Amino acid sequence: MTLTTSPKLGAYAALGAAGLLVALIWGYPEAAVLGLPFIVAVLAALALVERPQLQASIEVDRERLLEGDAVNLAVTVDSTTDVPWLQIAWPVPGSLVATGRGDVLGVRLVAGAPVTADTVLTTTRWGVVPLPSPLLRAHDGLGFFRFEGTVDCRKTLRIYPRPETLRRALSAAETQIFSGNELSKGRGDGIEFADVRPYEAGDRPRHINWRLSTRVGRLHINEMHPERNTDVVIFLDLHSDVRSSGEGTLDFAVRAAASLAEHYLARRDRVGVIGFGGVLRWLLPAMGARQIYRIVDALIDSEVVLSHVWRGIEIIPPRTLPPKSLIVALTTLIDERAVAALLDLRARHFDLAVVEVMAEPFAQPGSHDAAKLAGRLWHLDRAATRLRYRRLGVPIVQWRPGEPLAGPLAEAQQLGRRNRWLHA
Amino acid sequence: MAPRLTTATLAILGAAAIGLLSTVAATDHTSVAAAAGRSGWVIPGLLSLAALACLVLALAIPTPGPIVLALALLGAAWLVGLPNAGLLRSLTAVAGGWLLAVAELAYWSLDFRIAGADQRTVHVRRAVTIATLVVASVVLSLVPELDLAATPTTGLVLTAIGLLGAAALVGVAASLAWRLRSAL
Repeated sequence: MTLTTSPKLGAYAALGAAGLLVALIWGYPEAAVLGLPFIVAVLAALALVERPQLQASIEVDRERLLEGDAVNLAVTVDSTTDVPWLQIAWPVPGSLVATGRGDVLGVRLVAGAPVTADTVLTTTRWGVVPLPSPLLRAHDGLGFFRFEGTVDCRKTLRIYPRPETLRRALSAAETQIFSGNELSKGRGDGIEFADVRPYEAGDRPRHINWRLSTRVGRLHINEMHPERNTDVVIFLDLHSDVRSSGEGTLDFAVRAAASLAEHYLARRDRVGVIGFGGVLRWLLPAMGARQIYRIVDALIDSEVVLSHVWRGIEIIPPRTLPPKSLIVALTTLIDERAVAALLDLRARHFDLAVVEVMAEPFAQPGSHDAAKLAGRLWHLDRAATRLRYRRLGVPIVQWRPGEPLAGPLAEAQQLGRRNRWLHA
Repeated sequence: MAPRLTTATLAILGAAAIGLLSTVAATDHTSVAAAAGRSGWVIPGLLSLAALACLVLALAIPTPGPIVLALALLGAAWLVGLPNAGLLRSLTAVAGGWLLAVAELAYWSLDFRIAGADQRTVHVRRAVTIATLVVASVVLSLVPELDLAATPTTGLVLTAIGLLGAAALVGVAASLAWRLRSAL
């Protein structure tokens, strides 16, 4: 523990010395008498001070939680010596807020009688947060010395984004071979009626359409659309994060990515993630309950890493982008590298949908004329970027952070269908 | 009233009381201030006012720096306004203890800046400690105070006693510093 002295130690010593000096120089003994109490106080403080021997341990009720959940932290401090005034403080990291009582607790610690100080922290943003190390400050009885230290705590809190429940999301243009919830364009075993055709050798008798066969005098069978799964890749643009008042576009993009992943995995789709930024991060498409944990674990580590290196989609591992997969891009359309990468994916005939996480709510325009002009130019540039996507037949929708994601997704679904029909 | 405000108010009131007493005492014609003339009492009055200003400033900002200046000014006001003889002169040890109490209250008030949700016993115990310290220091200061009347103002014996006292004080301080170094 680090020792710091109160300024009064020096002040008292100076006052006592001044009294003695005045008494000596001017032959005025009352000055010495006036300064004597301060000398006595300093000597008493020096005689009584003792380094406290503190032992502390931290308990956390859980280390994995969702955004908005509260976590209880408790530190238990014990000592072999009495501490007249022990202060225990919990520093609060940026993505947590203290919702319990005051974050500094002052107690009198008696040797052998441990004291526990707890606090309740509520999470406000997803992420991996190192648990705060409580600060201990022990004062001596006369307030001349302070011993300060921290309790070593190497635990971390994993805060997962709270997903939005989506009733419907985007449908892929093409399905895969495994069974799932998406209606395939092909014919096969299923429950959705597709067509009828004449009976051929090898067809199952249970598929015979008896009513039609009786009418035309020849066997016909029903054809069905099979239910198949799809491959979905969530493309997260990690080049830029526009922040204001403690919130930013990346916060909402990650929440949206978690919501989409949960929705598609519940439909037995294979879901993968690409974090496209200064550092490329990816997760190969897979299905099942375990994949959602892999995805959210990967998502909460997302951060914008500043880089000026120009990167295209050629750096993405090929297996990350399976053929016929639907790519749902969550981007702010600010960084040209992400814009170009998505256009490149479209040029390679991937089924692409772009959800633009609107940066406008976080970027307030300045008040003077030059700032207003810059703001207008920025808006025009963004509109031009959107137009580039629309001309290529990419459904692009704007999502205002804080509003339900279902609306923009429904709009993207409509745009995607129309674009497919126009390009067919 | 918040504890910080309570201790600050008590410190200011204590300082005002000792300043007022010094100013009133300076009206005596035997005081050091009286040498400046009939309006010599103004000197401890002005010193006390300056001390109060320093103390209020220190507690309002809050910063510990001006407290030592306030205490020095109050001590100077007391010494300047002290009559050559009488009851007040024999109360210098009590005045020293009073100044110590003012200082402790002022620094305690500053300590409340870093206080949070403290247990009541913490502050009760500190109040008791301060009271004990002040009483003990006054008692110790009374020893030379009582001896002053009987002690000659000059002479070889007095010088020898003074030197011995200084050597003892340095010895105590050195031993405590050594203990502090090994203990911390």
